[in-house]
Amino acid sequence: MRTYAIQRVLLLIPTLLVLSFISFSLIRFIPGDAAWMMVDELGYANDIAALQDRLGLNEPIPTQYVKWIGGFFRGDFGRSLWDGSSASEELFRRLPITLELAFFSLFLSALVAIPIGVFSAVRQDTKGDYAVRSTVVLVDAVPHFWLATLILILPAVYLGWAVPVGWHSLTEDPIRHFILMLLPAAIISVGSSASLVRITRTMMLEVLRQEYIRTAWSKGLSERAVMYRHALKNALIPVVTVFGLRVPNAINGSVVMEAVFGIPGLGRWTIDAITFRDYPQLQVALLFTAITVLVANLIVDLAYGWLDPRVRYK
Amino acid sequence: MADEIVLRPTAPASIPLPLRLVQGLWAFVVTMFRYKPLGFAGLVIVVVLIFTAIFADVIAPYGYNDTDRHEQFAPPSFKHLMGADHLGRDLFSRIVHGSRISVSIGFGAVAVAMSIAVTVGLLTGYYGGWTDKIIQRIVDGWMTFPGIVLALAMVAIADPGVWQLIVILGLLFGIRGSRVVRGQVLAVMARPHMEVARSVGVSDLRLMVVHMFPNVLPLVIILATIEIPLAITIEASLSFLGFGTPAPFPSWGRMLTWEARQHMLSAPWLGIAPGVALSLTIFGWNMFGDALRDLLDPAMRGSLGER
Repeated sequence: MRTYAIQRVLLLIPTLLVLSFISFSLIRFIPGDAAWMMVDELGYANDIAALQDRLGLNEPIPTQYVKWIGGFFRGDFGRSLWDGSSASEELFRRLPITLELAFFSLFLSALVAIPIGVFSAVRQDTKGDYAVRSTVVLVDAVPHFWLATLILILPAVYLGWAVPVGWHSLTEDPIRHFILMLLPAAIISVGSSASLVRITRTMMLEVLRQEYIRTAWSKGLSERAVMYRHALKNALIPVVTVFGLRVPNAINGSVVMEAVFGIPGLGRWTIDAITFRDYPQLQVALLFTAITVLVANLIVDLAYGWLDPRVRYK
Repeated sequence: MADEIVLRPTAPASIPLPLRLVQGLWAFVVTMFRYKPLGFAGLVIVVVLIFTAIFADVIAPYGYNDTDRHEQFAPPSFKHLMGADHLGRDLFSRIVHGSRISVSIGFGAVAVAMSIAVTVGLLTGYYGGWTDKIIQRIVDGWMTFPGIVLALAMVAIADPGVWQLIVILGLLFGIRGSRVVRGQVLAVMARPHMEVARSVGVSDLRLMVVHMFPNVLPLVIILATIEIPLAITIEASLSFLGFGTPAPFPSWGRMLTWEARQHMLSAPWLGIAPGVALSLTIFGWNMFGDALRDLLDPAMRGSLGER
């Protein structure tokens, strides 16, 4: 297991380089830089060349890349071109918010989806199973931003009551913080729940056909023991993978929900940085969004190796 | 239930090819109807959507940007089937015209994506070696970025517009898809017919096009049906965030934006119809794609009883 873990971690290094390269080079293609915007659109200064020089936009692109990467080893992620604020400070303020939203939503969907999936498998081809499956299929087709729109609009129109929207810092007012986070997290969780229900059901059905389950039944174990101790544990292994695969979706959802609910996370930051061509912020935002997914994948792989010894020895 | 399903009944060679294609298509639709009712429903939705997109000008009673200040926020009625928005534009007409964006993004992006996926997947899988290793690491990196975030960054590169979105989403899905195609290519390479063809001296190009591609095609079709609804969803999300299809065009996602939301308080129908259109479209594609996957994938043939 240790060798496997070390191998997996070492493999991250080339991927990290590729990620930093993509985040860096992609945004250099965006036409017009911050200096152009400051001069042309806002009239902050007269001389574009001087401004570009001051912001370091005139340096050759490879030099900019090396400087940026070099900065990481000194804990310097660059500074905003607009207000000179440190990108690392901003990142560490915003990343936890997006992470919280994404993982809160995944937690909610596990909480809801796994029992429903098990129920649907155990009661295969009954009315309950059909109800679950049709709901999953319908829910899968609803884009979450529309769901959010409906939840914000309909009560306000028909009940005269508006859903609370906004964000409160955790340290100031933890209860209000979680109340406000609950709705966006729940909306994001809907999509993940659909696929989790599906995979849990499929895997449970497959496991229930195995011979050791028949053995468990024939020993006279109770339904509870067969289902939870013998079937569910084995069925959950692939579910862990799907859980990992949903992390990018949770972040996608978080980007959209941050815009809808006015949450100051990584997604909002990315959108703002794109709008203002703020390269240092944008490349850090992109890179860390990807790193989040990468780390999540790593954790899933390791968990998989831990849960299923066969994986380690491949 | 578990009868053998014949997708393309072998027709006598004397029948001309176009006719055989029509026959095959008909057989396919009948199979779908018999074994996959939900998939058939999906197919119907998709066909209606395409039909609406083609004949939008005929179906829509008004133009998508015809304003009428006497009709601002008109509730749904016979004059305005789905009501009118803050500029007095007929919502039904806008939804009908919006199907064009949905269809062109769906098909366009996926056509671009599949071309990229097949080209990259075939070449890297077939030749392997160092180039393949390097390209695979880039693909790894590319797949690590959440789709909307990557699409947002790319939309900033190109000015938003339907064509630009098609290329951007095509790149997004194409590079991801190349991994799947490559996997299939590697699997096909191991099959005996490839070895036979190679040993009688068939050229690389002919091997790839004639002996490899037909074996990859079913997978590509499956991939395409999965990615069409995804592309439509991402376009809608980008438009919703204000980065997708530009303003006068009636993208369904754009009709639900934050700016539009303030009008929904006085005219809630503005928030319902675009969302229903979008969900129905995604639902149709999902169901059709699921059924197609079951019918095309030989490994899944046993599971006909499901859905």
